[in-house]
Amino acid sequence: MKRECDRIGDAVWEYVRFGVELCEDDRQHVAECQECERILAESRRVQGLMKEVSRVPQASDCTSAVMSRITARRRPVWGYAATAAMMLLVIVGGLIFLRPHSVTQQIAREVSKPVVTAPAHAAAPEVVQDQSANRERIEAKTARRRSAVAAKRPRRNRRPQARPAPQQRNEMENPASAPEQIAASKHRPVMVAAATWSNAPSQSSSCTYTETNETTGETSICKVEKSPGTVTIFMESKPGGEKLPQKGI
Amino acid sequence: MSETCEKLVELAKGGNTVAFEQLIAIHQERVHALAYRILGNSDDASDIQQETFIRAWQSLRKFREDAAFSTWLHRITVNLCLSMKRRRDYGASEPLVEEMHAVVQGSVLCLERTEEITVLRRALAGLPDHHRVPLVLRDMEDRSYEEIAGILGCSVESVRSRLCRSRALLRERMRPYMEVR
Repeated sequence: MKRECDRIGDAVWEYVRFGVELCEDDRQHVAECQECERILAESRRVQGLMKEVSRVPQASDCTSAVMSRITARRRPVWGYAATAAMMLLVIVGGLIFLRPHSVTQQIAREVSKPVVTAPAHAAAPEVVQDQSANRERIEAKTARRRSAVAAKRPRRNRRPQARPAPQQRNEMENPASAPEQIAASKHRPVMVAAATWSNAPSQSSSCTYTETNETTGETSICKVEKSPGTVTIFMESKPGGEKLPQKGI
Repeated sequence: MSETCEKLVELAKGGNTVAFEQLIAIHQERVHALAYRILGNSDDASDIQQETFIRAWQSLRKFREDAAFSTWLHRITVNLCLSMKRRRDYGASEPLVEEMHAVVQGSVLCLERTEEITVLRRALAGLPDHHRVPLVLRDMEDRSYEEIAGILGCSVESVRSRLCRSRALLRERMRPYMEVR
């Protein structure tokens, strides 16, 4: 009964407030139920008061205040956009400016690392990075000879010696005839050497790469020795007219 | 939404401030009234009124016109009012005293009637937000159930049940006072 009264109480409220007619059953219930009769009386009284409560003081015109705030907020948007564009420009400029340096540094770092490429069927070869005593001796000797030659020849003739001899170049450019290839880089780009050979990878083998500067007569020799699991690289430079050693390159 | 209002909204969406100015002129009184009825304070209602239109301007492009512009605007108003109430921790007595003075000064109602109004205001202010706001929208603003559902972002059934509960609560709170009379 109480639940029914609650439901009818809302219908009664709507009837008092908006004139929504009660259905016949509800009307009969209200006529018979004391609780609903009281709800009807309360609803009338409360809604009479609510008309008073609903009164609102006169609103002030807010149009000019709102519009001034809107236009004040709109202006700086361009300022922010310009600032953002400037910052973007500075960042992009900075990246472009710094990029060559970083690439150079990266190349230098990569070149200084010895890199060995081995065929897929062979075990990864171990690079003997430092035949230090031997190599330092050879490099010191090479540097002394180079500086002696450079002092003698005119400045315009100095140029990097990187071109391989025709026969060697053919071997390098034709991978079909060279199933196995090793590329090694030392700490200076001019010392980069590449060699190929056709022996079975499990056997010891070696190859020699020779280049002669036609102008100065200087000869650069690179010898790569491979034994199972080890690759050793020797480099040497001979000034013009000097006879190449037969052993211990 | 009236045709004029639709056109004005379209223009305002394109950045036309004159059209938006006209929309403010059309809707500002109802927005202020709604804010006042929820908050019970005239100064706060004026602040909410301005803030509502600022927010409306900022997010006008998000208005998809699947509801009336006024419904969308009043939803902003209700949300701002409720967040202001939460922020300021409104007391029930503070606005009521102010309103009582206004009623006494502004009308020829007898003291008894003024007391009754004060009690009703207190009872209304004491209702939880989710019960009071539907009551304000329905019984003070004469909104339909569908409109209320649109403003509150809930179903019509939910509006009905909330209204039923809030009316029962209000009657219950007013009952002791009425029995004495």
